[in-house]
Amino acid sequence: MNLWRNSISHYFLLTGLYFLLVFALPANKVAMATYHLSALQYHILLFVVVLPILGIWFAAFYGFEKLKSYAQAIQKTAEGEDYKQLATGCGWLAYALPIPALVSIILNTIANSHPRFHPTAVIISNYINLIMPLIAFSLLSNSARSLTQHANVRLSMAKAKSIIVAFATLGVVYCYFIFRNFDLISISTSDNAYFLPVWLAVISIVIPYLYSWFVGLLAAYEIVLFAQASKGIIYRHSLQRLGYGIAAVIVSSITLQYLSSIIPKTGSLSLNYIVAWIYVIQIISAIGYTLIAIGAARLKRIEEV
Amino acid sequence: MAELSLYERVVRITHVYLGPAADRFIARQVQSHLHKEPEELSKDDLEKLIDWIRVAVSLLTEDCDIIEEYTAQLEKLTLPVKKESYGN
Repeated sequence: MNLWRNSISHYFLLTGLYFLLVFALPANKVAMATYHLSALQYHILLFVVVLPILGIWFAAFYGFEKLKSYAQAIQKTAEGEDYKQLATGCGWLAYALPIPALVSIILNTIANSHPRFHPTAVIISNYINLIMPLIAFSLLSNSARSLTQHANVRLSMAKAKSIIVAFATLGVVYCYFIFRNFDLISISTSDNAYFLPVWLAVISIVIPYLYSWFVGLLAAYEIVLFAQASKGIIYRHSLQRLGYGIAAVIVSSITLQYLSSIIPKTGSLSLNYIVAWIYVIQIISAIGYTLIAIGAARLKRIEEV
Repeated sequence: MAELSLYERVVRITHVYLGPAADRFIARQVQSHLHKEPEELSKDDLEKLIDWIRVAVSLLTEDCDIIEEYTAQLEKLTLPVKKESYGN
């Protein structure tokens, strides 16, 4: 087995790098002053904050690896290509956990030493947080649609309407929070938390986020629908675990994006109730990835015995 | 309509339990345990095949009722086919 093709080895590489950066990079002076910390205390506190996150990342990479392994086992079957795309989508979501965190820690450190770089750091972090899940949701949506079509499962009109109502509510509340951060007197000013002119933020952040969430929610719903409608008592039990797991991962990812985009980034460590909420959402995501791993392992066993 | 082969009837029963994986599952059992191609499956092989299927399915589920129900369905295939009676 090629070690570098195994995503678990990527996990250890990325977390090792993250640990190194947490301890090696200079402490954030604003956070040290806010919480009255020495440099050592700051690094220890950061370590304590990121430690549970590393466990959640492991669940994500483990779930992805199991799903990838199942997709490889059935690659020559009719549904093989759809599962491969489903696994790739889950992979993008798994990598979307450590990569933005790594980029963010590097950019924020540069911005701490060079304050003029701060807007650039925030803009890059915002786009990375948007793009990776957008790719993941698009792949998951394509595979979910293809799987439901092969299984002759269709979204009912009543369910479609309820998704539209839920999405419209989510979108309106999101726009309300986003536009509170903008100075709407001039749409060309970049004097806001996103460091972008209002028109550019709307086109390149607000609309892509809303699109991404709609595609993601629809994919989550179609995957659950497909799992529930599948034939075979034993097969369906395993597939439902996989389906619910993917849905939990998508919904928690959307919730995290929602929270992180309506609360502007400061570039420094913030210890408040939001951190607690982020942990709760990340734990739901870890449960989702664990369900993916269990479901995929059981489905793979059907192909092996 | 052409009559289903024995292999196809086994797959049809298995589909209720293993869904889209049924065909692959039965083909694998026949090839690896009976050392035959699926289309060569005969009634004489059924008893041995059902034993292997019972072992394999018990690795997939702990629900004994499902295993018993599934193997009972397969065992019906071992019974002689009833011929229609046309009287004396």
